[in-house]
Amino acid sequence: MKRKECVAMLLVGGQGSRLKCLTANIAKPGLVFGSKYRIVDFCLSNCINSGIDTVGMLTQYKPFLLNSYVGLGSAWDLDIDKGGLHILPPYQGPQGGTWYKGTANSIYQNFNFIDQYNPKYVLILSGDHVYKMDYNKMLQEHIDKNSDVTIAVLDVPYEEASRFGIMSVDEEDKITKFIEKPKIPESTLASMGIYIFSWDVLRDALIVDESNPYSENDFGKNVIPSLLMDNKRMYAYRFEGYWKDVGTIESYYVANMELLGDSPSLDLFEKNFKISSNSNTDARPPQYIGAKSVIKNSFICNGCTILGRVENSLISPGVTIEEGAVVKDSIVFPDVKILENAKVNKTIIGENVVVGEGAAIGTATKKPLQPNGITLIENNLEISPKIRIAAGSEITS
Amino acid sequence: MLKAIGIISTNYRLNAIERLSENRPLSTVPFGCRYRLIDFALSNMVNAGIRSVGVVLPYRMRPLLDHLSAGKAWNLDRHLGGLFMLPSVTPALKPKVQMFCVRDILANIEFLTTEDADVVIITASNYVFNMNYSKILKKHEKNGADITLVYKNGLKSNIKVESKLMMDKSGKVNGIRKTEDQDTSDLESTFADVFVFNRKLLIDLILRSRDTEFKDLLDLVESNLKDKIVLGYEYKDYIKPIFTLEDYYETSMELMNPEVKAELFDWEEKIITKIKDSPPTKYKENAIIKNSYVASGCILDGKVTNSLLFRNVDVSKNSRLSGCIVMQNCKIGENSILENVILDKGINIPANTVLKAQADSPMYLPKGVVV
Repeated sequence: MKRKECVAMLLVGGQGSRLKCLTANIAKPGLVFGSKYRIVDFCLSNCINSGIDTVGMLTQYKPFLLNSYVGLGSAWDLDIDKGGLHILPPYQGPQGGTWYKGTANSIYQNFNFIDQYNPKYVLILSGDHVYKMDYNKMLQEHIDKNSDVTIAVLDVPYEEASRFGIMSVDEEDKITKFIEKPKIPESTLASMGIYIFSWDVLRDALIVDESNPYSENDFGKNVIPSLLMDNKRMYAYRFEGYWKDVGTIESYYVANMELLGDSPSLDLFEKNFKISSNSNTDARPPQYIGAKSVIKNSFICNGCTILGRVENSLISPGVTIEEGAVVKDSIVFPDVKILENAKVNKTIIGENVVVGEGAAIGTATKKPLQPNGITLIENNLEISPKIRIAAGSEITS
Repeated sequence: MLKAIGIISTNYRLNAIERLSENRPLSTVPFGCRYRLIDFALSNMVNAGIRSVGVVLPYRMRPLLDHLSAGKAWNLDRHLGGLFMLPSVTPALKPKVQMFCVRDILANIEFLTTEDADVVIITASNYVFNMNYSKILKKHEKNGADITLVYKNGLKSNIKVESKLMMDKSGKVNGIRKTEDQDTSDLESTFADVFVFNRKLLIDLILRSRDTEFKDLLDLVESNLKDKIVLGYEYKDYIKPIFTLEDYYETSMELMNPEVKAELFDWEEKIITKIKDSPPTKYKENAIIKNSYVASGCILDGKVTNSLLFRNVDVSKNSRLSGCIVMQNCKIGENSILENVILDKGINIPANTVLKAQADSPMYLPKGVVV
């Protein structure tokens, strides 16, 4: 087979447990974002916009919905003969098999997949970040500097630095030190979890890592530090622009809300670097807005019927909001029904939920159950009519 | 259940809707915020489980080929069966509305002979409907029909050229009457341009009509009423033909009617169209949208009432639209007032523009016009 310049390996196996009931039946990369998108759309779109047409998607936690969403990758033009999108779950071999033990181990277990394309470079991506990035620029820098490893970094505020893997660099951005989540950061260059390896270097490193029984088989904790100790040529690639790790309920909520308004932090309407999503899954009619409805500062998608009031909210495809219902400061997932006179305030409502007539969700209390006051409703629930749910509650099945 | 294949005819032109379809076939006139007219006929076929559909192409076919492509959106990019492009023989003649030219089918007879099926469903491409063919096929089979013609009571278009089916008590068609420019008070049993033929019979009829090949398929049926079992099937749900600009405007506005919305859009069989994957629609601080349909990718900051907005339309602050149909990629500048206007694709309306028309004679601005 013709050799591929670069193969991307997209890690989408994480649960995202800090997102609580939102990820109860779908891995974090499959979570709805910006009303019509899912988080994984960003990495897949980045790949194809960067000219990378071969992507291995490593799944583990609750893969079914995510697998059916990405399908053959046709929504991102990744349904091609030589290359394209491949879903790579853990598997059994003659000597048995194991779950993916860590990020590095998941790549180790897919040696054969990568070798089949025999690429010069391997791009490691984490499918749970929201950003637009041309990986080709990063790859070019990797080639120009004759690097073994290039790590994309973002200059973060000092007070946030201890949440990330932090790098110290010399005047040529050569990495001199890498510490995962340091208590006292020596720099503010944070790893974005995006790595380009020369495949021969990565291949050897993974074999060494796998033979070390004390290793957690994690890129940030094990592989990167040990390559640094081996004096490999490792450079930081400085990225400037929008990048969000939407790992917590609060950061997820804020990142969504930031899409609204006159000057959003991330422009979804930009035509030159389009974020694609799989809209093929269900043919939906245009949205219908009723004679009495009021909509302010919100996103609404295809297949919605809005007869009530919507303010500062993101409404996903196929949502019905009946007359007299009021939805404020909320994120509503696909196919939700909010029946007459229901009130929804600062709430994230999971897919297919029905909110009964006159129910009130996220009502003010003196002391919210969560400090951020965001109410969560798990997928597929039916909320009884007239029920009151206090702000900050998490309603699960 | 009978196995069916489908043919959709698009090779006809209509004077009355001329301006809307001046540079595009009638079948590709944009309709309902995100569709083209042919989507209704094509989706009905696909939703009935038909996996071989032939489209008789019009003379100016580029917009249609662009829209249909390989049929992927309708799951018709198949190894077995799929979407077949059937080139027509002659460009449609404008003054005469001949919707199903026998010669066009004769030229593509291989489609009928090679695709294995019991029956062939043949429809027009300018109707707005969400029709369940399986019921029709069941009745066709049960009654041992050779040909079934679907009709609708009260079907009215502004063009006043209609074919009425005359039937006996058992529903057998014994006559077809053309009501060209005649009184329009009689709206009983109007043919809805949907045929079901037993495939082998259709092949036989077409091959035997070599010398009269410029006929319309309905005329061919008419001359066989005595020898064959031709049944009428009454369709009771929503169906509207688009023959004139008035039809187009009225039917568009009718989508706002909850019953029409329920029949066309809200049930499980969906009308499928080419996917554009636009961003969501953004409602800004000053947006006031009432009783309107909106596609995705719009940015709205003005007032919109009783209107249809296609994909990627921008309505700026302090603009007021009512009774308007605004096609893809139009931009409405600030402080503009538009009443009962149809804007074709990609028109820029500068700030402070006022365009008004009456609801019974809407203003149409063609593609490329500079306001």
